[in-house]
Amino acid sequence: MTVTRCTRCILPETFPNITFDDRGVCSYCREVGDVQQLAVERQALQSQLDALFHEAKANPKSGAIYDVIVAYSGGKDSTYTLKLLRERYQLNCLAVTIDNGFLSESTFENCRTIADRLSVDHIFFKPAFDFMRRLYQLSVTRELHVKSAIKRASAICNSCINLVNVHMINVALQNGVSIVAGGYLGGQLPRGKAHIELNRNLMARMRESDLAKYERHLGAVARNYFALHANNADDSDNVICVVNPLVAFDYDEAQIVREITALGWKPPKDTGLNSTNCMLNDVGIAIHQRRHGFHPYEPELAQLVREGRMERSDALRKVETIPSGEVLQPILQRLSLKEEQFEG
Amino acid sequence: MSNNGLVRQKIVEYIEDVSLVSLTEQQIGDGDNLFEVGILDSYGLIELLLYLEKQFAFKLTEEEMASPRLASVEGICAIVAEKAMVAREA
Repeated sequence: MTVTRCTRCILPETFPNITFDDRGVCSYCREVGDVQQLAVERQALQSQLDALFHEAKANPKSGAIYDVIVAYSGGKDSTYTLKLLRERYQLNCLAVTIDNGFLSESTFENCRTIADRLSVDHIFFKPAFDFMRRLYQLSVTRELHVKSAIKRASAICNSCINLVNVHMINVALQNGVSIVAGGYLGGQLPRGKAHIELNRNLMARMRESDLAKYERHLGAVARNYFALHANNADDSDNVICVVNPLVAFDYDEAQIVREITALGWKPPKDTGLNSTNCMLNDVGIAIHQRRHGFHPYEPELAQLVREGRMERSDALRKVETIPSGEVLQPILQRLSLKEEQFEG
Repeated sequence: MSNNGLVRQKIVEYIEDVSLVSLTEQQIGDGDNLFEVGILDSYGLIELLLYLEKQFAFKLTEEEMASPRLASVEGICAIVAEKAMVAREA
């Protein structure tokens, strides 16, 4: 079946709330400016980040060893983010990688190589696999997330993103660090924002709203992974700034890969077309496409095309091959899931 | 339509647009907790705060950001009305 897509980006007619004008341009494209305007907005975001990081460097938080906690997946975007923070801003970073049980062997190697090359301290944190498996099973078999989350990522990725975000804030609180950075692109910070400040009240409110949901489905053990550490989170001095440097810089995928390859990063061969660290990603994509009729990476790739950072044809190539069959079987077996369950 | 009615309409339209859920069809009332009925999550809360500050041109205080009133249409409308009153008196 041929899908009608926006003539400017790549969003399909199946994307929620989308409409097209008489030139075939989608409503999401019409909300934003042209390539030049987006570049000006990006420059403004970059100035904000420059000020934020220079302040962090000039006035380090008393007693803190690190300037910033980096959510480091080992994939290309967070690797480039880490490089940017070290080389452009010379920040003292603590890189933290969550091992969800499905990281490619190449990812472990890349994390170690890059951490060494950039001289950063690095931690792997591996939640108990039984918990992660239950979390992913639930993500597939129940409506674990709000309906709008389908615009951000697959259900599996949304669960992982939530766990990573909470963990990074906890590491920041434990280390007395006030900045958390990541290679976030789609669905992890609201559009057009390069950073967000979370004060203690807002953190408490967010904790309350999401934790109850995870506890209801997964039991008390969910607190280990989705609760902010109360003593630190309630400290009135705590303000965490969550930063997404990539949205503020001109780059394209080829440039990122070229620069991080020079540091020794190698593209994994077992993580599919859209991930550069995780073997579970293709399962999330296959389920999402079948249930919702669009690819979960389409919003993120559409934005890159709008901004002129990716060729439309390259973005289409990434979303027009949907993983299925034998590619998914080993992962599904580890999750004790069957392809029939994709229909929901 | 009164000013309060217009504010409510804007807020409901915003919530329905971003959440992909019709509050009327789902029989979600103005006093219902939008987190408990699966309309908002932590990401949605941040988006909502940014929307309110931009749309109604005010800055929320730390206490207001943590207010349980932000969980319902009724509570959000009340906060917007209070902020408008403070702005008028300033």
